[in-house]
Amino acid sequence: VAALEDLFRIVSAEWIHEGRVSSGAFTFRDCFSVEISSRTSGPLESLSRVPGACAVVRFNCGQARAIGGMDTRDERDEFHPENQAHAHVYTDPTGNSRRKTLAKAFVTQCKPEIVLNQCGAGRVQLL
Amino acid sequence: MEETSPDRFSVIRWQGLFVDDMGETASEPSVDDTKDAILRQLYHVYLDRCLDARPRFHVLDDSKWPRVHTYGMTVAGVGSIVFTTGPLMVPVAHLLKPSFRAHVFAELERLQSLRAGWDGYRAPALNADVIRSARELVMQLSDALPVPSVVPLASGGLQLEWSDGQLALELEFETADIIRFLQWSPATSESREDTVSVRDLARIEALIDWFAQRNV
Repeated sequence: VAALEDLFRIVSAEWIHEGRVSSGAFTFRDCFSVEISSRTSGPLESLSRVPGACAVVRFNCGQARAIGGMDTRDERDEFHPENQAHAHVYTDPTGNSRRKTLAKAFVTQCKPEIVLNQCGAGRVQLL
Repeated sequence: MEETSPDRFSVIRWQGLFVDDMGETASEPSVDDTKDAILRQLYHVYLDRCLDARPRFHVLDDSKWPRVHTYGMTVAGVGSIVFTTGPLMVPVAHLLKPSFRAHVFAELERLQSLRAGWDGYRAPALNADVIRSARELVMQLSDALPVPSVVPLASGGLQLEWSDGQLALELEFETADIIRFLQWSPATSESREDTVSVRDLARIEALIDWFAQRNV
């Protein structure tokens, strides 16, 4: 996936703490799913594919590669092959000894943007 | 903090249950109740229920009650509820802050009920051995430690996470026996990642002290 692309990662409320994304949202030993933003109408479309999802985190593909050692590949989800926006982000296969460092560097330096869903799970809401 | 004795209370929806103010009954707190007392009740209601998801607050009427504002709210309601009276914003986290153990135990109990797919994808339920191991570790640590976030991981593990700006400490239970830790302080070039046995209490305490001493 081209470095200029932005990616959407749907995250659970469990991974948003006091307005920041936990590195736990990007701590994987293999890969995680994202959507290529240019192939969606926006974060709400991505959110709509995961009932109950709390938020979308937007980040840049090239930055994730450069800072977090994350390689994004244009691959379909085997359970939802019709979703052409889907991609996998592979964590550095040689970097298990520093995978937490990479994930932390990613969330602190790439400053992923959080787009909240209406559910607002874990949030205080005014009516 | 300004003391307020409201004569009318907001209705708070607590995880789908309507709770009249802070209790399960419809009885109103007396007008002598202060915010502090009510907030403590609120927190204890939460702890008693050990909710399986994070609480939501909906203040329906704040004509007398200070406005509750939106902030990322941790499961124990720590550090995120802010009351305002007019332009004044008064953080009340200190009133709600539970002890280290109470907080982590409540979180572990909640996380234990997460089902497979809790992350919206295909994360397994948390590993019961890891939860048990975390609980046993916390039992052995001082209750005076700073309160961490307890974060589930898609691997079925979990991590205790202390964070303050550019300073952070993460203790990830890779297995029930091994913790992978990250000391994060890029400003002082003290960042370090390694593993430690869950049984190495002295080293784990030293790691938490490392964070606590720099987070003053």
